[in-house]
Amino acid sequence: MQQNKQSLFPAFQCLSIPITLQKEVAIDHDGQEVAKCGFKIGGGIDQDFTKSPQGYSDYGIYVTDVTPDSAADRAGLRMHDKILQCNGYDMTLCTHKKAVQIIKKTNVLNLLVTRKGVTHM
Amino acid sequence: MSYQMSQNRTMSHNPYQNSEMAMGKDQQTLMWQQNSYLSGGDSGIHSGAITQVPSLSGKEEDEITGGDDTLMFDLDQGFNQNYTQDQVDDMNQQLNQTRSQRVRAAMFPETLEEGIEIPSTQFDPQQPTAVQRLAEPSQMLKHAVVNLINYQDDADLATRAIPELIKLLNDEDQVVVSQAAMMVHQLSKKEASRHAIMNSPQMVAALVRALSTSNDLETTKGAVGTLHNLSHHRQGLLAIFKSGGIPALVKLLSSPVESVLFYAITTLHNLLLHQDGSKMAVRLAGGLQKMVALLQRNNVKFLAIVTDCLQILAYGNQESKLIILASTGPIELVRIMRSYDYEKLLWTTSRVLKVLSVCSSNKPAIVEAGGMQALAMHLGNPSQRLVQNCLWTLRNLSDAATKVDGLENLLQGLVHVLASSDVNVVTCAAGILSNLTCNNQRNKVTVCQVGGVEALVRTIINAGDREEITEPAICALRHLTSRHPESDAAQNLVRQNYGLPVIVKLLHPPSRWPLVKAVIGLIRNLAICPSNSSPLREHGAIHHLVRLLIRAFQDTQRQRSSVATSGSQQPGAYADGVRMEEIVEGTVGALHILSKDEYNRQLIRQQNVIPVFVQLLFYNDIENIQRVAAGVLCELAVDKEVAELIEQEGATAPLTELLNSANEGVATYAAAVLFKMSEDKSLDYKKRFSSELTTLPVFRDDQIWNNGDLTIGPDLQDILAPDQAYEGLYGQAQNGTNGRSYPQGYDTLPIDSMQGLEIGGGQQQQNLMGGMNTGPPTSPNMMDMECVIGEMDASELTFQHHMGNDSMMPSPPANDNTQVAAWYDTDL
Repeated sequence: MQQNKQSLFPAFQCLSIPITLQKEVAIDHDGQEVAKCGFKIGGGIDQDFTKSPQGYSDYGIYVTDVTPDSAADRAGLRMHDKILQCNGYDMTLCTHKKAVQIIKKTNVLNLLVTRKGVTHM
Repeated sequence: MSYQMSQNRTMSHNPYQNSEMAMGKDQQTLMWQQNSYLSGGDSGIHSGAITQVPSLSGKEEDEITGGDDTLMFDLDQGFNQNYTQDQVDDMNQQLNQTRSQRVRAAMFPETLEEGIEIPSTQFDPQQPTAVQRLAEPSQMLKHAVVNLINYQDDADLATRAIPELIKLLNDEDQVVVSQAAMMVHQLSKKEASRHAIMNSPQMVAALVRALSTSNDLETTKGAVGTLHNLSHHRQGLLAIFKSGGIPALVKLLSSPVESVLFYAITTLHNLLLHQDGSKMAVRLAGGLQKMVALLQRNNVKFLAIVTDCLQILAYGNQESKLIILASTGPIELVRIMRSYDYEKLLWTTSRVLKVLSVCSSNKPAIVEAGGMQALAMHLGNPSQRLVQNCLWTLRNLSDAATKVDGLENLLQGLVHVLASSDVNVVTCAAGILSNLTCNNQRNKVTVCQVGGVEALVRTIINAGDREEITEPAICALRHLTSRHPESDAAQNLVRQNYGLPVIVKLLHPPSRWPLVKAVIGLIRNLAICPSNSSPLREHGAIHHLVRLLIRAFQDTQRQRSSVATSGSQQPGAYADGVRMEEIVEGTVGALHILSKDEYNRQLIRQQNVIPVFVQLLFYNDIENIQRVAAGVLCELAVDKEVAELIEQEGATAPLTELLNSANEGVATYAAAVLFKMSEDKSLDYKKRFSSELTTLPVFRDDQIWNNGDLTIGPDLQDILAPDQAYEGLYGQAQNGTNGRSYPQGYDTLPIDSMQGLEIGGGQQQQNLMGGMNTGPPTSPNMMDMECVIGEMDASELTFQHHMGNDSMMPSPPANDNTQVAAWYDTDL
């Protein structure tokens, strides 16, 4: 029995940067609560990445802009970061609309991102 | 067996058979006495010999068929030996005692002691005793009771053991967990204990936990094997689903161990088939990507299950289809179609491709991966369901494949399949041929070369009034009869194969407008061949064309006058999705070509339709109509009287206007008609006139004027207006809007002509050449599922519902994210 013991999932390294983003909540002129993140995303499996002005090379969700001194900026998010996961939801193979939905869901975002030059070359 | 059997089969000859049957009991007793004790041999257990139950009959055939040596009866012995009453009583008592032995021997032969000889009470071999007759049923009863007892044992055992096992499964020590898992797996193989496991939510939860957290192979095997056994029952499926089994199982899809992998995929398959909510759970857990990755394996039965899972997940779910696309699914699926022979796998894969083929993002990917050619490989397969699925998929893809090379095999396969007796097969094949020959010279030539024209004519003849077949077939013939090197041959072939009468007949009811429009276009092409002119006339083509023209013309006139009075912009006059303006243009165009023949001209003239032609010259908003009207007048004006007639109708003024038309064809024909009309006029009218004419750009070419005869050849239409040739199949983005341009040369978008036809259940979609909707899939009854592993009992899902996203039209990238749109950002 001993010799048949094998581990099922060989470990491999996957570096990513964890970022916790607390949205800025404000009241707009209608009295409604608005939560602002301070970044923009582009991409998704339903978009054509070959048409992206930033020159992205896959179907992932990318941060295309970060507003200076915003919640995203302070949390450490940077432009061109690729979002792998948000609050446990996979963002590597999802539609743009789904990604927006997931991000808008809660006021605190636990993100895992990769960044060229940092997590990979 | 442990009891003695008599070597001697006695009952095969019984001399007392026929007589003395109605003996009293005592006499019977006497007889038996003789049997048992006088012969010295024992009759053994006759019951066993008579019944075939092996458990009772130790020796079989020899006993029954005879071949015994010693007679039980000694024939010499008197039958009427006298016994005293005491002796008889004695014997009776013995019989009574042995009765219980006999019964016991019948029911529980295994309990008999060795060597016991039990006297038989059978005296007639043809008539088994009561005990003998009951022997077999009582055996069966015994077995049933034993099973029940065991079952109860199992269930009891399991119920007592389960809490213990749960504790062990949750133990810290991996070895303990592993042993517990194996034990649970063993238990799950028997029905009673399996039910006990299923009914314990904590047990199922513990198994799922063990799966997710353990690294040990035996634990995993035991746990997943158990879940697999549970998945054959509705309750088991529910229990697995509720305990979060799906994410754990999806994780196992990465396992390098084959048995684990196979258990996991089969369990997931069962869940997807029969448990509500599983599809969403599998998608959320990232199952799609993993399954697509698994497509690279090469076990055919395994692949069949994986592809069936993919089909279930992708059906009707756009996001799933996009994920499959992003994971390079189409490439793998096409590879499978190319590489394997196993029918079930080919069938399930073709269904996935069918589901993906209505997604406009997947379509080009499938075509690029060589999907058309791969599917073509199976058109001759004996499996009808495979052929049908391939055809549906091909039809969906065909509008994206018009520029693809190397489709010769496909085209040949399609032409062969036109001879099928199955209506659906023929319909699909005709539709695909129509699409693929649209504006594609190479394909047209190929189809002609493999006998496509003859086959299509035969199909049309056989189809009668079934428009779902005739319409695409007519469209295909229309493509084949124009604009390629073999057009003339094709035009002749139609006539030679007795196509003309049938085709002309399709011009009248009950044909609906889309079909009529297609036939008109075909007749126009056929008329180009001079040998067709007379037959067409003889079959009444001209008469029908004029009738249709007048009807359509009146509709358009009504429409135009209502617009003029109300001032509002109304949409054109439609019928069955066909604009009457198109019918006008088509009929006049056909008459134009037909009027090159002299007899045809006479006939047309007799129809009193020239005024209509002149009226059409005023349709300034539709250049095509003006062009064909001027064209037909030009042909007719060859005859002097007709020229005069035309002038009398007041054609001069509009024609003069048309000289300035931006459309070269219109201007040319207008000039030609005027020229012919002016031939009788005074010389200086002519001179003035021709100087005006020569300023027209098109007439700078002296060639046309020098020969003096302005009969303009049939190709002028093409030469003068090449820009109006179709760019691919789509025309304009939407059907039936005002922006729709008219087909040039009648080599047109085939799809539109199918619009309005109801195929398969009355679904009014625009995608009739593409998707067919026959309703939502029905899932099999989930009660008391006892699924066989790996059986593809997914119900026959026919076409998938087209979610309003017309597969034939490339709608502009919409923001509903159903297509690969251009790039855009969202601010958050």
